Amino acid sequence: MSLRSLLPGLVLVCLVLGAALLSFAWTPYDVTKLVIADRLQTPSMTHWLGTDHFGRDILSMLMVGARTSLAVALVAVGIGVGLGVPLGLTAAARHGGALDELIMRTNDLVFAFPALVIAILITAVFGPSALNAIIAIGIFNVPVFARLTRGAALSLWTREFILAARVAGKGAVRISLEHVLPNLSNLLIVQATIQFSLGILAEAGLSYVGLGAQPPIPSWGRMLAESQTLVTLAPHVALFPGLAIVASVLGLNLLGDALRDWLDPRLRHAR
Amino acid sequence: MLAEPLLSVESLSVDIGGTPILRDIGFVIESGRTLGLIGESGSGKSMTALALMALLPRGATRQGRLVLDGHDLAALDEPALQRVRGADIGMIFQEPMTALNPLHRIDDQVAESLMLHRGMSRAQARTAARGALDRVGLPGSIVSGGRYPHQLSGGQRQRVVIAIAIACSPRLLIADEPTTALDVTTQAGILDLLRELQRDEGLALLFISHDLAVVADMADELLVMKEGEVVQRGDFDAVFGASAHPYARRLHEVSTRVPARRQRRIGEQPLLRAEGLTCSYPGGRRHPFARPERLVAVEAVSLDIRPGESVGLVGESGCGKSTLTRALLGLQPIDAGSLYLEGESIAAGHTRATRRRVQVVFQDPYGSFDPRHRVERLVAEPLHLLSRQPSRAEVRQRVTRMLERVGIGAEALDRYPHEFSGGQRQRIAIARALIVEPSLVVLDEAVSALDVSVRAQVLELLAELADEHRLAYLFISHDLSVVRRVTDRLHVMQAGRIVESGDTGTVFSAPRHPYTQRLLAAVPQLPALAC
Repeated sequence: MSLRSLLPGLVLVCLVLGAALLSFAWTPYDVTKLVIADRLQTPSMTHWLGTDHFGRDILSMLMVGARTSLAVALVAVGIGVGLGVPLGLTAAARHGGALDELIMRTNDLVFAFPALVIAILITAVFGPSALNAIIAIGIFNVPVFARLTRGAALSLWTREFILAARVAGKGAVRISLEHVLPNLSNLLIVQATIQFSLGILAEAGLSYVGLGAQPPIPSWGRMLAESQTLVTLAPHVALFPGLAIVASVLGLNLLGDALRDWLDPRLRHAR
Repeated sequence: MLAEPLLSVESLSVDIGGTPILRDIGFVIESGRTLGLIGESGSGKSMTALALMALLPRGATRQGRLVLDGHDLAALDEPALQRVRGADIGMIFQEPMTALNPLHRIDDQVAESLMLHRGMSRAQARTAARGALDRVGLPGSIVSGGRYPHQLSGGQRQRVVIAIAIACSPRLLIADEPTTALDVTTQAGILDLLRELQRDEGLALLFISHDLAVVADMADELLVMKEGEVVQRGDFDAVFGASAHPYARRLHEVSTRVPARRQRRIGEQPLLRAEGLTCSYPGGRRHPFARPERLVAVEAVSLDIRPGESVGLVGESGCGKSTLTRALLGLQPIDAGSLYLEGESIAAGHTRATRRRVQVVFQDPYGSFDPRHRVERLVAEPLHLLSRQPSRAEVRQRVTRMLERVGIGAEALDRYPHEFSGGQRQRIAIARALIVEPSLVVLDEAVSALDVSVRAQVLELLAELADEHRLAYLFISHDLSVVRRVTDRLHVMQAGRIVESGDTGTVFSAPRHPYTQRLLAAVPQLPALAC
């Protein structure tokens, strides 16, 4: 398997990641500074992607916004994988037992609540912030990963190589870690990239309705929301944050697919 | 004898991406006759069948003349071929579990080809399908047409597949390993059905199998294939007789070879002893709050295995063999009864020390290895049962020694299981079982998935290892001819109970229980060589 199939996804993800990292050190303009005189400029040599209705440089805002989007999505997926996968593995290892029932029914309960309602509830109690957006998105990743892990792990537990490991005297924990988890990894990587891109979308969505990162921290979602009324007047203000979201979601999905193939020894040698 | 054969194939060659798969195959089949195609995996048997149907994989090119009843198949385009497939040529596949669509009623699946080829309406086709299902021994009184594949047994499903193949009264029937996935008594029923159909309808039958005894039983003429070429043809005596091709003779020889065991030191004290063993599974519930009913899979089974002894366990699928095996391995909770290993009770579960004494080799050389681990790690897995953990260098040394003993070179250590053939994988599985020096190895259909010559080599290896390490084997199989050749004593299992036990020779020559008699009568016999 060549690195070529990793390339398109890697380029897009690196672009977004690079912009986010660079924004810590340098941005073309200060994103907190409002220059009303320069408002709604079209892309030019001074402002590459133009300016918004407060005269802020859109490129600078996108760079700082990438930081928020990536951080929120990454931590939210981290919460989902970190809690969901162990829960799913435990449920599968104790299949049919009380623990399995408890974990899966709790999952069903969490699944039954619409994510946005919970997000609103959390922000109503704790106030709107990027941190609370992370927690809200993260909580809804847990049952996704738990259910996926349990389902796939159950089918692995009936396989003969797991029986062989049990005959070799290994316990449920070691088998889960040594045999079940590695064989789930391709599935989990694909799901994680999907959840990561959904996380970016969810953060944009929460910010769009004002429940995510608060001003003056720039966020792709809020940039879209604020540009909504200006679309006919200055379409570029909405276009660039939209493109940024599309590019990162697409890049992550491509990268996830390629990584899954690359991590599987059978596919790696088949290429 | 007819003047014109039904099918004649001349110099058929197939390439896939430039690699020759079939070279210069030629044969004729007459109506009412059976041509048997035998050979080992990869010899091109199935590819020949697919070439006849023009169903070759993408990238394959076919050359040669194929004439069916005066029509040149090679000259036909895809729409014309679709009219031939199913209508003039019917095909029966090996795996009845996957050859049927699980979401469609069985009579609709039979009716489909009638609607396609005969232009029947759905109602007409269903009536005709009913007739075809009656014909294959599935009358409406037993199996209604409205059933779905999962509601049928394996043998019944294969009958549905045959009904689909004969629905349009084809003149040529291709049967590709039609009974390989079936139990021996089911196999006998299917073979009888095929013979009967052929007699009544004057079908020409192309019968593909790796099982010499089955082909010898069915075919008027044999074609032996090796590496994409026909190496021998003729009737049974001609193919395997004095002037036979060495490959054909070797096939026959390995199919009947009895592995030599030099000395037999069978101990007196039982190594493993089971008394009144009962195991069950939770079944369905009558209502949501009821306790699940228990399905008893193994009922009051008693057996013992002495050191160095080879004990066979035979029975059809669903008889409880697998559950019993799991119970002996400590993978299945025991409801009642006692289980002793070297006098120590293991009914409640194995300890590290007892687990070491009993190891297992599974049937599926593909499924029994974690595809993500390298061979060294796979073979070394049971080593953690040792009371003292060996160092990395020691592990590598032990694994290498063990692999070499089973005939696998040290270069295999860093490779993944998918890089090996089925026979090599089974050798690796044996190495994994033996690395902790057990006294009993459970061979759960361990050679069933292997070709005859590879199977003979693995059986040979097992016999040598038994002599060297004074191993006892519990040999579980549905293949009675293999069990007969390699076991000392035999248990016959039916519906969760052991119905007959005794010395293998005695059970085979004078079976007492009606079930054993039925089982043995169904085994196809391979004729001995003429010379």
